[in-house]
Amino acid sequence: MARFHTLDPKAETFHVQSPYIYAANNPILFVDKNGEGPEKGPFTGRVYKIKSGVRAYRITTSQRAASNTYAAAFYGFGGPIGNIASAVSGFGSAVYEGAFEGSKKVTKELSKDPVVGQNRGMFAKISKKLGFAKKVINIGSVIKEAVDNQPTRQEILEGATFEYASKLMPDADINIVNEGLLDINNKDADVGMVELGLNVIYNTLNETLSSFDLTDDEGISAANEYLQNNLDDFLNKIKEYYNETQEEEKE
Amino acid sequence: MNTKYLLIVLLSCLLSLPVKSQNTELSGKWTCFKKETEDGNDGSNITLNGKPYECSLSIEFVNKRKALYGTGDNEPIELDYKVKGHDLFIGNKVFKIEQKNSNELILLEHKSNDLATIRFRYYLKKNEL
Repeated sequence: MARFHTLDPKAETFHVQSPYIYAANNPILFVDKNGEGPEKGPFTGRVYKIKSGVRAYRITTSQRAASNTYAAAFYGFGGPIGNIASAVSGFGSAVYEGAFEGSKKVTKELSKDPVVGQNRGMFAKISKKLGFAKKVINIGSVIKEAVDNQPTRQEILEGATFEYASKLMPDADINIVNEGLLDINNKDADVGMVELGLNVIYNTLNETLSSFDLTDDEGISAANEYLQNNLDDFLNKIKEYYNETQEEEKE
Repeated sequence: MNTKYLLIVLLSCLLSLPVKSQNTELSGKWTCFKKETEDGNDGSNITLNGKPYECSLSIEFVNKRKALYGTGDNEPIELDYKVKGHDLFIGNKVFKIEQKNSNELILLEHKSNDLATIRFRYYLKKNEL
C-alpha cells in the first residue's frame, strides 16, 4: 500500500518485508518519521504544541466519511483507505488535498452547531450542511465506499483512547466542538509525554480487547462490560506500561 | 355517553394546564471547584501522575441559547446550548443536571463513548456579581 521510491535505510533490520515498504506497510498504525524504523502507536506524530498547551488529533468516523465524500466529489477518485492513510501519514496527493479541505470544512461546521458536533451518525446532516450531497450522487461506485460511516476498529479504539486520556492524563479534555481533538490545557505539557501516554492507552486497549469484535454492537457492549468488570486491572496495566515505557525512553 | 363526554372534557382541561417543570433554567457564570468520578473518586488512584483531579471549567449562560464555555487558560468559546428535561446539551457534551440551586450546580457527564467506564461529576459555584 505505502512504498518508498528509494531503498529503506533500515531494510536489513526489517528484512522480512520488502525494502521498499513504508512503516511496516501500515501507515495508520505505524509511523516511520525518519526511516529509522516504525514507532509503534497511532498517535506518533499526531500531537503538537498550541498556545494553551498541547493538542492531539484523530480523524473521527464522521469526519472521515465527510472528508472522503468531499474528496470523491471534487477529486473523483480515492477511497477511504487512501485518504486516511494520506491524512495520517502525511503523503501529499490530490486526494490528500481533498481530504484536508473536507476536514477543514467539517471542522468549521462542527464548531458552529453543537448538535452536528455530537458527531455520531450525523453524516447526512453534515453532508447537507456542507451542501455537497447532491454533487456526490452521480459519482458512482466510489461513493459507496466514501460514505461508509461505519466506524472501524481503529477509530473506535482511538475514540476510547481520547476518552480514557481525559480521565487519566492531568488537564486533558476532549475538545467541546470537535471530538477529534484532545486538548491538554497546561502550558508545561510535553508533546513527547502526551504522545507516549496516548500510544500506551491505545495499545493497552487494543491488547485488552483483542478478542472482541468492536465493529459490532454486541461486541462493543461485551467489551464495555469486560472493562467495567476489570477496570482496576485495566488502569493498572496502563500505568505499568506507561512507567516502563517512560523509563525505557529516558535510557 | 355523558360520562364519556365528561372524561374527554376533564382530560382536555388537564392537558391544557401548564406543566410545572422543575427549575433547570440556567443563567449567570458558574465556575467549577471540584471534579470527581461518579463514585466519588478524587482521581489520585486513576491519573497517571497519581494526583487528584483539578477542575478548570467555567460556563457562563449568557441567555437562553448562548453560553461561554471555558477550560484552562483558553479563551471561552461561545456555544449554543439547550436544556431538555434534566439534560444540558452543550457543544458535543451532554450533562445531567443533578442539582441546581441559587449558588451550586452539580453536573454529571453522560457517557460519551461506547467503551467509556468512568464519568465525571462537576461541582460548580455561581460567581458573585
